[in-house]
Amino acid sequence: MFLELNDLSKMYDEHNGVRSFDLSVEEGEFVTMLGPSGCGKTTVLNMLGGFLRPDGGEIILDGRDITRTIPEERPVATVFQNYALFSNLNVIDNVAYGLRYYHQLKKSAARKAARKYLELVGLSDYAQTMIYHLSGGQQQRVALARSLAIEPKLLLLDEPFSNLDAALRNQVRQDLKALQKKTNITMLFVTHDQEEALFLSDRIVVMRRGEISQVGTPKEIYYQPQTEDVAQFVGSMNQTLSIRPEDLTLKAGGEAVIERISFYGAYTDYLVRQDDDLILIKSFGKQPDWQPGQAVTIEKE
Amino acid sequence: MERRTLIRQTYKQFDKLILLVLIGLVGLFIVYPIVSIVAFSFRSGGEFSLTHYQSIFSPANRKLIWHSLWTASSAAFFSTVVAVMISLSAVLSGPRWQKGLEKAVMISMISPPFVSSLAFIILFGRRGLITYGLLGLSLNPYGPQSIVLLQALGGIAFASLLLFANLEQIDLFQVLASRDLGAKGQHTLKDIIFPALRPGILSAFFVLFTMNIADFSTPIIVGGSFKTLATEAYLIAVSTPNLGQAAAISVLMVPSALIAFYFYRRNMRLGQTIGAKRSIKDIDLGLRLPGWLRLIIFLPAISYFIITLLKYGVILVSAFANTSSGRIKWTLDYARTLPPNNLAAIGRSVGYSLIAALAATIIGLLISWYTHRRRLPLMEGVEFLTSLPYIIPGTFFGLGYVAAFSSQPLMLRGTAIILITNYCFRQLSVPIKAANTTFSMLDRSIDRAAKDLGASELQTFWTVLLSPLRTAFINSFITVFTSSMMAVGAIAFIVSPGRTVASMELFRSVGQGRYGLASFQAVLLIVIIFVFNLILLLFKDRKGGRDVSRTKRSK
Repeated sequence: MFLELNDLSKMYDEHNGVRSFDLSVEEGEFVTMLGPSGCGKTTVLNMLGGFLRPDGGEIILDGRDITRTIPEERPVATVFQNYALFSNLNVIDNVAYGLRYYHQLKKSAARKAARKYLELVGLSDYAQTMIYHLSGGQQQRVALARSLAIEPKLLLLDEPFSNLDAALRNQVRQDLKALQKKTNITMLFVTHDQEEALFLSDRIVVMRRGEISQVGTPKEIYYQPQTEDVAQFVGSMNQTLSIRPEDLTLKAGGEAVIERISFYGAYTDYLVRQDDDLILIKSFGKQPDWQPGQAVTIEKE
Repeated sequence: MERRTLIRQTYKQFDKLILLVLIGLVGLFIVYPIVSIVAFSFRSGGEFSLTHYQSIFSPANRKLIWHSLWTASSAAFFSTVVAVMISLSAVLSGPRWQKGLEKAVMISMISPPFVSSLAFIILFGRRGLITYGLLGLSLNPYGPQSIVLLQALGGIAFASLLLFANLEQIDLFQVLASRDLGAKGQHTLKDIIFPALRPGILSAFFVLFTMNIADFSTPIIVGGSFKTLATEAYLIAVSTPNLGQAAAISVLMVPSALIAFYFYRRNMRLGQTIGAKRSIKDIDLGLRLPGWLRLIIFLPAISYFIITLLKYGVILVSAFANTSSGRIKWTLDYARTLPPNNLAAIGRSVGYSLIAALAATIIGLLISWYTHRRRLPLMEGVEFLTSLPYIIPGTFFGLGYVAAFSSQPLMLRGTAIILITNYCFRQLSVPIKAANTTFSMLDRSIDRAAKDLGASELQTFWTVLLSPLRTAFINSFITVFTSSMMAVGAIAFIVSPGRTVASMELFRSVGQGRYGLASFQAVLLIVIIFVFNLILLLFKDRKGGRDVSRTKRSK
């Protein structure tokens, strides 16, 4: 395997931290660590970046043990949540930074080489711009270009889209996916946004309380959740029927009663009481004009 | 009128009244003295004239200007360099050392500036413990080199504190990003840490330069026959009734102060950042440096602390020993023969400083509130004026008080009020800055919520803003109190013989060459300041000093 985390652990106290974490990633794979805040996903990322020393276990990257390697020397690059761009440098010098130090190029050579990466993220025109004149989306792309420029064996992304608004976020997700296909760089992505994880990833690692709940492809995670927690955190689940709300529909007349209707535009949620259970039904598109209190039957689609 | 409306109207009027009083105070105790002294410098025999300035630029006086310029700038330069090394040491050492370093710098601030001169003479003077007692030499330590050395030592703590504030602004993630991209320790220092310090370095240099230019106590004690603008202004002001000449000299010190002021204000406003950030304060960055660079950084820092310890040690020994023979002979003479008016002076110092600290803190918090929270028009200008006395030379500000308050209807000379107001308005910028910082970290919607629920402006201040300001209040109180206890520069001109204060008594003893007595007075003063600092810090810790960073706007 290209990247292997074996029995990695880092405990902050008795309950908080990451314990015996195992994960294997293939070269060129896009893997997302998904979980609520405090689940330990960022801790794993920081250990991979070299910013946090593990209590035990090992990290093997491309056949080399890098567990104790300092960040300066790791072939790993990180895109930070706040981008951490150097505000005293302009765009091109930000991108050239790692080329100068990690690859030991001369200043002019580094700048020249950095152009290629600016082009890759579509910011060629902004080479001389100071960081604080850029929009949030542009800053995010500079951060990406800066990390890609050292041609890392592994790229870590720590919730890189959380500071962008919804419309922009969709766009940069598409761009990142295309970029990953193009460069074939192994990426490890951290997020608490399930949609983002499902869309971007080749595989998803669902985490909870410092441990892995499930590893699988997005479809496996969504359709065959192995635990209650995974099912609840990724999408929602009707516990009594073990079925996703979007797989159910309503038919007029029957034993069940509509309790509540929530209209969201693209879809509508119905909360229906059947026997003594409350069941959630998610229907997409335009719906018949159901009313609360109406008698219905629940059917599987 | 309905009762509710009536109450609301009353609060509104009261609010306006407070604002007017604040503006009035700033006008009377900051603007008026400054205008008065400038006016005096342009007046001779009751008419407008440039006589005083013409006499200043005589060849003899030109030499004084040159003396002042080169001693003040070299001392400021050395202080700043050492302060940079001290702050870099803080970055390079772990959180525990960082905290220790910060405390050590704070403690090294607790002593009147010329106490270093006193220790220096006791060790290296004609009958110095080291030069005469140990080495059998009788050297002349008096001269410009000693002025530079002692002013440089005196400025280090101030510059370091200024730079520490800059360090807190550095984003941890920038440091991590730089390491992540392969930068070695020295590169991270050069690319991330140093650029963040740069505005602070400029600010520190120019502020120190201005303080050194205005400092007459060090040159008088260790300068020998070497004279500067400040010594000249001081001697003229205390020996002749001619205020004009001294006024003109002190006006000459203003241009450098204005440059200092520019950089100082600019540094205060900096701190541009992108996105949420986390300060590097209290975090071990794990930067690795080559040995030679570590030596360059740590050696000056360590030397400074050794010298500071030595200074306090020497003063302590000298307070209870006779060293005039070049040897240590233990004695309690200084304690026993302490003039009784000395205790009264200490009492006055403590009383005046406490009142001044309280007044400055209350006035400062209110001005900051009107300026930065309420954003009232023109208040920016008022706030600007309040930061003037902090930077302009003490000599200038002190003479300003003499010029403004020596005649009716504002005859304040000889009263306690002139000293208290001088202490208070000199340091007014301290609480304002502290409150500004607190306000900038406090979400504005808190005030809006309070007002939305019917609180008047004053009630909003009282109910929801005062409590987050607690830390700023206590910190400012301590700083103003401590500086007032040690103040000499501006006070020297307005203190009256019958109502002198401890710092002046100490200065006089040093000037008269009574080093043992001076040491004892210094120890007494330092102990008192220290005890009061500890008591005030207890106040701060008792309720844990509410952490405003928790309500930070960032995500």
